[in-house]
Amino acid sequence: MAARLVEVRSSLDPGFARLEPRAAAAQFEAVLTHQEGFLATGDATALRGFLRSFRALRAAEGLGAENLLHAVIALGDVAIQVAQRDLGPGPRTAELIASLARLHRATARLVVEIIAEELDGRVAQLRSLAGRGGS
Amino acid sequence: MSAIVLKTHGMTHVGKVREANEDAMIVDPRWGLYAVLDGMGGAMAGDVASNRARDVIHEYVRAKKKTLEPRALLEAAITAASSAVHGEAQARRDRQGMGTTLVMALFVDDNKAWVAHVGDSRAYLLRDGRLTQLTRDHTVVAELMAQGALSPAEAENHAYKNVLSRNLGARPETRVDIVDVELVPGDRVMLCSDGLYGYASTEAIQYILGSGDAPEHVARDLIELAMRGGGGDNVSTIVLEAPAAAPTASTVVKTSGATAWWQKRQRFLQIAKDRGLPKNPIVRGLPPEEALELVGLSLCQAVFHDLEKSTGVNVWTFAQNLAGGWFQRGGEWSAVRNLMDILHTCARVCVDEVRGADAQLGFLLDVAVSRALVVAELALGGLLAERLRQVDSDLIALQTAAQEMADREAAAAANPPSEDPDSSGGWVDRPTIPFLRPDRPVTQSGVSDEVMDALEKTMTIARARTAPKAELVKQVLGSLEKVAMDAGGNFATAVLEARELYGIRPVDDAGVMPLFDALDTARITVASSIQQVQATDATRAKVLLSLSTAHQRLVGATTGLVLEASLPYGDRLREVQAITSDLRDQVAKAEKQRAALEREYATNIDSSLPWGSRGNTEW
Repeated sequence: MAARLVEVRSSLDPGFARLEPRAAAAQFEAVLTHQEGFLATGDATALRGFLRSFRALRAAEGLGAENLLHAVIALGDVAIQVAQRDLGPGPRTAELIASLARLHRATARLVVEIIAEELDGRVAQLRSLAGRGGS
Repeated sequence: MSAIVLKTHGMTHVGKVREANEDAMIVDPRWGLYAVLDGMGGAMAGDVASNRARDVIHEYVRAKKKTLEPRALLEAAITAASSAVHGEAQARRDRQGMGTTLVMALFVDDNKAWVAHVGDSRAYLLRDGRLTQLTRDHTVVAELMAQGALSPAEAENHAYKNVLSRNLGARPETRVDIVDVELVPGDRVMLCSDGLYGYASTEAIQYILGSGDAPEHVARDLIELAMRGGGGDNVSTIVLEAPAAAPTASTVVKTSGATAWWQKRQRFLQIAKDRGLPKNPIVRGLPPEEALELVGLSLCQAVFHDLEKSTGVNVWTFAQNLAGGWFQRGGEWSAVRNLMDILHTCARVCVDEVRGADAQLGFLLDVAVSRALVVAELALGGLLAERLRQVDSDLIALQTAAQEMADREAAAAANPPSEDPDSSGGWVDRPTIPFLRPDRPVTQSGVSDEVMDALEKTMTIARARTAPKAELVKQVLGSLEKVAMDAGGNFATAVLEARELYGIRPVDDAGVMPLFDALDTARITVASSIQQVQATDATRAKVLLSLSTAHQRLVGATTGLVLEASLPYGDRLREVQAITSDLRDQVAKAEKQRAALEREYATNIDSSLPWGSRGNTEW
């Protein structure tokens, strides 16, 4: 999956398109590793923490909030395609692909939660600043 | 692999803004030739260019396809077309500058497509649901991006975003980019002009191309998509499909999967009711059945239509409508999250029940429904991100206003208003040139009548010695006298006189230098005139001192006015300097990259190839 992601990184999103292959591979492997952990344990804590850091990294590159969401979804789509293409037929393959699809949706939800948290923080800041200005 | 029999359809539309369609197309299954051309040039010249190029290419391919190999055939046909358009452009004044873009696909027996292009019309390949652009735009901005001189974000807002670096007709020959693609069953190739992708997102194009509908419906939907996006240009598209040999998983989902899903809708609504959907704040106030229908049934319908069409447009629209209005009314994310969790649970249960009856169908449906829910999350994330951008913008505005207020308060605290009634305002009493301090009166009170008398005589002599036509010098002498005679001793007289002398003049040599020349002439005239006055040496010395000081004040005040007038130009100059510096950096970077590319390709030049393949830069 990581190799295929490196191949198609230019079509995934601008953030990945700018990366050299080695740097891109490192990022993809980090995402896949954390997703693997979530898949194995059902515990999203580590994946959520990683996605927060990833969001901060992208924000520092000047990429907007939904950019991470688009990137993660594109990444998940490719991962599922690779599994569908490379794994032989059978019930275990079907189970894995179905699990990947659910993982894909769960990861997207985690990113949406991160954006929602960021929004809550900003709204609180705005209210605080507006209150000070009015007093 | 046996030869693929393509299904094809092409469609063109004038758009909503343009009065004429200057696009042209070739859809010729017999010769395996497909092309989209986008003409440019005023007064219908674009129409002439695209049609002429189309006719030349079509004729050339029909004549030479059996004798030339594909790459050579494409290059020769396109060169002939460029030469023809160029010739027509040169022959008539009203067609000068006309040209056309071109993207074409030539299919040969072995399922291979040769795609050639010049300009910014594009070719895409849809394979396994993923859209890839086969061509790179020949625009100034795309070339800079390819060299790393521009980022995608910078390119999007660049002033030269749509300026072509290549087209047919600008020169007799042109450089052509050619790629070959081996098609597999299920692939779709789409050729289009910029009237499509300029008014539709890549995601939307991918959804429509991947819908599984017949090419004629896909072409129609793509045109409609461009119209909904504004339709600001002519739009043309050709859809080419390599049909799948056997039913694929997507076909099963589209038919049996969609049906199985729809059959579960009542179960879906029951679970939604049990999970408390009608109590969600978003639908609070609605009767429970209405809430279930409005939200639950709508999602079922959206998923059903998306399964049928292998798209995500309907679920996307559902999620946007659900959450968009809620967020606009100030609703919290938690309510949306809760609602989506309920809907997700309902979908999961229904899919598991289908799987219990038919494992394979259940598996396919599981993957498809999960994908639909991902689309919903994408839509919700987009709405939240949009709201985040608005809040950020409000924060910046508030913080800026707060900072300005703080700065004003700090400035007022540092410089309290003076209570001196004689104070005539800040800048008059705060000279910026040290020797113009107002605490040195030009004439002291109690100065002798003798000095005043000698001063008047000096000025009379100076005026008499000034040429009659030297009006400005005479004005300066008059101002000098007033400043020297002013018993108040403050700077105000010098400033007022300087303003009278400055009047309205441009801040350049022609405007300002005559005034300084006049000031200098007056100084010399006055200094020499003092010698002519009958007075003691001491008196003449005092007169010289007072007139010199008055002259210094007048020159200082005039200089201040020039600086004041040139202030806006200084800001603009600094701005332009910064831009120039950036541009220099970019040029240096681009030059460096170009040099590297030239070094890299210098060893690959084959002098036996035709000119068009040598990789000479053509801008």
